[in-house]
Order: sequence, then structure tokens, then C-alpha cells
Amino acid sequence: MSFHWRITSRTGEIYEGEEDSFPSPEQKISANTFELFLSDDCSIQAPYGQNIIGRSISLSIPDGHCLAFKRRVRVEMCNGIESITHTYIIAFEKVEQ
Amino acid sequence: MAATVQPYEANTGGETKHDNIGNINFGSNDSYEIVPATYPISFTNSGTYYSYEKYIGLKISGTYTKVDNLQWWMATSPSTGVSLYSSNTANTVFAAPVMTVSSKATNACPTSDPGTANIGIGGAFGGNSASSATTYSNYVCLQLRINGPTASPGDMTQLTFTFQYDEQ
Repeated sequence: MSFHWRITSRTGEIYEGEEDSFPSPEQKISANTFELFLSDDCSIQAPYGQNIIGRSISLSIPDGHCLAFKRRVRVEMCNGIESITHTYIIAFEKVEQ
Repeated sequence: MAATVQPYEANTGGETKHDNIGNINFGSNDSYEIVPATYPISFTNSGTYYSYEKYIGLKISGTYTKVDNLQWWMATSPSTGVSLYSSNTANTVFAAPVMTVSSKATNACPTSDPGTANIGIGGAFGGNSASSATTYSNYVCLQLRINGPTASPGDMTQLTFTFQYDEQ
């Protein structure tokens, strides 16, 4: 399971993440739109409580907010066998003025 | 380009750390990945019996920006007469594991997603590891207790150990 992303900043610059890298704090603060592309169907927690299963999502970040993006990794171990699941979590965080 | 997070176990008075352990088997020996048939916990039908304590944590390495929110829980219930106890502090300090009642593993284990971090980094549940540093989390101390009058001999139910973290 890998991912890449694209951020278009509020001033029009485009940033793209290499496979499995995460945007920097500066890129997240500057984001106007955020697009996420996954190699396989996966659980995505989008802002405002939307939970979806899919391979891509595109969002606009509201004024006065910045992007939060992380991957939650769950590893289950039993009898020497590991099972790994990913959830991609996207949120908007209010920017202090 | 991603973090690698693996469980580790520390043993002996020298706090020898073993990375990427494949199981957390409890028994009558202070070592990692023990074979229970080789180190069984003997008990009779009276009294309480204890496994060696286990000091477990997560090792964070690889290429990443930040890893935090370390969590663990033990789904599924142990066999009748068997209970699993754990520490619940962010800065559980290592001591040579004992096979008598633990002074650290004194709490019921979480059995579902705790919702917030319950493994410390740098002595705090709110801690994090950043900038591709190789970091060992704080410990969770675990111990199995066997209630002699109600437990049955033989292998106990296999438990599922789950750990979870956030990467960004």
C-alpha cells in the first residue's frame, strides 16, 4: 500500500509527494487543494466525519484553515503472523490569526 | 520513504533489547520469543502463579517526518483462570524481569483501541519521534497471572496483540 499526493498552494505552486513521503508543515499551511492517490482501495477519514473506502480523494481547504494529513498504521500480531491495515486521515485545522 | 515501527523486547538485568520480535510468549524464562513447551509455568490447584515480566516497546526507524500516538491493546480473552496485566504509565522504567508478582504490571490490559496514546515516547504519551531518528519507545511491562484453582493445564488461548501509530 503506497500513496502519493499533490498540493496546489494558495499562490498557485504545485507540490507533489514522492511515494510514501508526507508534505512538509510549510506545504500543508500553504495548501489550497489537496489530492491523494492510493495504490489500492483503503480507508480514508476525510474532514467533517466522512469515512470512505477508495483510491483517491480531492479536497479544497477552507480559508483560515490548513491541511492535516497522516497515516494511521495498525499491526495485529497473532501466532507469529502480522496483519497490517492503513487508514489515511485528512483534516482541516484552524489557523491562528 | 516510510517509518518502520516494530515491537522490541528487553531482557535480563542488562536490559538487552531484541528488535522486531515475532511473538510475545510468556513463560518461566526471561528471554524473547520463548518456546512455551520449553519454559512452561508450573502451577497447582491452589494459589496464584506468575510468568516472567515482559518489557515490550516499539522501535521507530526508517525515513519519516514524525511518528506519534503509539497505542497497543490485547484483543481476545485469555483462557479461564489466566489474566494478563500491564503497566499503564508513560515512563515505565526497566528493571530485571521477575517471576514473582510484578510491581509494574498491575493493571488490566486494554482490550480495544484506547483512542489515545498509551505507549510513551521520551517519557510522555504525547511524545513523538521525528526527522527519521531511530527511537525506542518507553516500555509496557506485561505479566501473565495464573489462578491455580480455575486454570487448566496446557496451551492457553492465543491472544492478538495490536499496536497502532500515526505517521505524518
